[in-house]
Amino acid sequence: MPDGNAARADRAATAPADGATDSVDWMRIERSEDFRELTARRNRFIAAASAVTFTAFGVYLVLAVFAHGLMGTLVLGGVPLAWLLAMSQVFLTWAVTWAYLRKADRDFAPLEQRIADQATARFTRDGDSDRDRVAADGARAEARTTVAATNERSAR
Amino acid sequence: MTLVLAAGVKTLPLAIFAVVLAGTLVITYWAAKRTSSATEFWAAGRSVTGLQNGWAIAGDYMSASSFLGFAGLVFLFGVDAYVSLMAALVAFLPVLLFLAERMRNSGKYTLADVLSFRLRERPARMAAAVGTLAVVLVYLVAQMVGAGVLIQALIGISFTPAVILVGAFMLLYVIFGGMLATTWVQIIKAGLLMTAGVVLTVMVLAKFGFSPGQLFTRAASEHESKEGFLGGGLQFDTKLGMLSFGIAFVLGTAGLPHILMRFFTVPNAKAARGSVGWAVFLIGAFYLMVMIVGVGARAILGKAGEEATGKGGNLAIPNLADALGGQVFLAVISAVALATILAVVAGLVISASGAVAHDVWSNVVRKGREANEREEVWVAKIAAASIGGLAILLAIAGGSGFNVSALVGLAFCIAASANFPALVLALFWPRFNTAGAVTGIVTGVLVSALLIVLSPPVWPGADTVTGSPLGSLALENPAIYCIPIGFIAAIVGTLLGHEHTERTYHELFVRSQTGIGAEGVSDRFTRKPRARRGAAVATQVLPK
Repeated sequence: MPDGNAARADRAATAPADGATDSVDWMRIERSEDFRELTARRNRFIAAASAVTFTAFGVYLVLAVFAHGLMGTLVLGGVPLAWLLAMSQVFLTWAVTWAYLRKADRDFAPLEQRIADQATARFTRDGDSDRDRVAADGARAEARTTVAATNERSAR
Repeated sequence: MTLVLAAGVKTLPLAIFAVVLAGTLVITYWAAKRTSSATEFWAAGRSVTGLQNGWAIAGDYMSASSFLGFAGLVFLFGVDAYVSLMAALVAFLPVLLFLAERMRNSGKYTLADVLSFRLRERPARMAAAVGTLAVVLVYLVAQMVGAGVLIQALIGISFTPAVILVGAFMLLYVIFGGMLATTWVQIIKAGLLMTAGVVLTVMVLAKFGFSPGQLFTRAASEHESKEGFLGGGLQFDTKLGMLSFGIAFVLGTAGLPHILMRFFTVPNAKAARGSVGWAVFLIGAFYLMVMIVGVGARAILGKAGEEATGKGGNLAIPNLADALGGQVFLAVISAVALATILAVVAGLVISASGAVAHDVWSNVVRKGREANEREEVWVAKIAAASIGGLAILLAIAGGSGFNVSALVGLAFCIAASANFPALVLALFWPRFNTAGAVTGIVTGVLVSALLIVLSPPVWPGADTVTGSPLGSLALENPAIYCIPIGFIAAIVGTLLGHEHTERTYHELFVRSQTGIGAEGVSDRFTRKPRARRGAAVATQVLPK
């Protein structure tokens, strides 16, 4: 990230055009198919990932608290099971993190982008009225450029 | 300086530490020239990359207690200490899965930004500022006391000047260099810490022919309780206490304001989640090394070395370094340990300055109207100086007698039972409202403080469990009670309040999930600071 550019872009962003926020229909986005798909898929992943890691950590915690004899068993040339189980927590945490990042980049990010693209095109009040159509087209084109610029930035 | 350099100063560690300090000053000078606006001050201009932020989170998170403290606990208690280490790492999964991207998508500088999105701005910001300041102040005092004790032991400067020295550098970084300087101090410290970890691990393993089996056998034979060292049961008085300790870490991390603030320094949500990925990798790798190094300290220093490692085993690593590599290596490791503290306290102070200047001053005192950025940054610097100064005074007043681990426990308890419930409920519960946030945060802070005061290590004149009025229910770390109480208070407060915020819930939900209108990402739909509430009702667009 070139340091100067981001800072300048950010300063520009702190002074939005009046009414920019209010022109988005959030409920409509929330009901849209893309959005529902995004949250459903992300929630499914998060539920599965949480279940796996917290069950594994819970089992480890319960064993560490209650099963001292078992944890002290020497395995694989004299190392205690407690050490291997603790290390497995690290590897599991790494694996889940990696899986989420991969999933987010491949599946969630494109959906987010599509929803953001359509936010200007379909869900603003600009798009509602015929007499605003020209203005809306302009806004849409502008939004596309912005989104493209954002894409470019996040790609880096 | 002559006063500071009184009797017993160890020149070699001091010289190496001075080199590290000089390096951080150069960074601060460089950063100061690039820091003037509020975004630059608190969020480093949102120019930090995911990789850099990952290192900085690792540097922000791994305090001296991660390095010296955890290794010391492994030295003293064996595998029991692994539980705290793993809890501290697993804690990043809730941050990754629930908070990192959503914070970046919906906030600006502080966690109050996320709350005030849906709730009445002034009470919500006040409550969030209370939660942030409570965590920061307690954690800061703990770190300062720890720093004073360590510097005294490692360099020989006595407690009070040592605390002032650490405090002065912390304030220099924050006031002049803002978040950019803080970030780079954290990155460099994380680099030093990882290097020290690798070197120590390799040296320990080499001593035992790279055979972990030999290492563990030798270590266990040097402990009074061979079975306990390898199997557990030594560190905690009660099983409930051990569970509670683990839970405090797992949920407390997700409510630490100085960690959450780091997500505002990156350009977008992708970088935010990527930075957690790097942080998890680095912290996990470091904890793997701490597990080995702690056992190595037991194997090499042995029973005979227990006396010299001090209370809590904090000096196990320095003594191990001395045994492995002599005076020079000891000096290097000491300097790394001290750099570790500086990076953490700087991160804490800058998050507190955000709570005071951005939340309280600009949005509560100035009501978001007259405040301008220049003023906000000035107030932030004054706030940083005041909070830092207060922490220095408290640390000196309490002296080395302050129970550091009780203070750290308190900080994590408050984070887990005040900040964490409010954030989670704001992001995921449509019914949540201002009354709930305020009651939840205030209750979380008070209950944590009360239960810590009643806890066995703090309650006066009673080191035994039965000494506390709570009897055998008193825990060293009461998180297992505080967290449910914090959540219940927030939920009950919400249901008693009549305010409904479902409308803004939908906006926050969509924004946090998609990143539409996130600060500094796209200039379309950036949230207007004022007049949101009335407008939100008007937004209910007619069906097409």
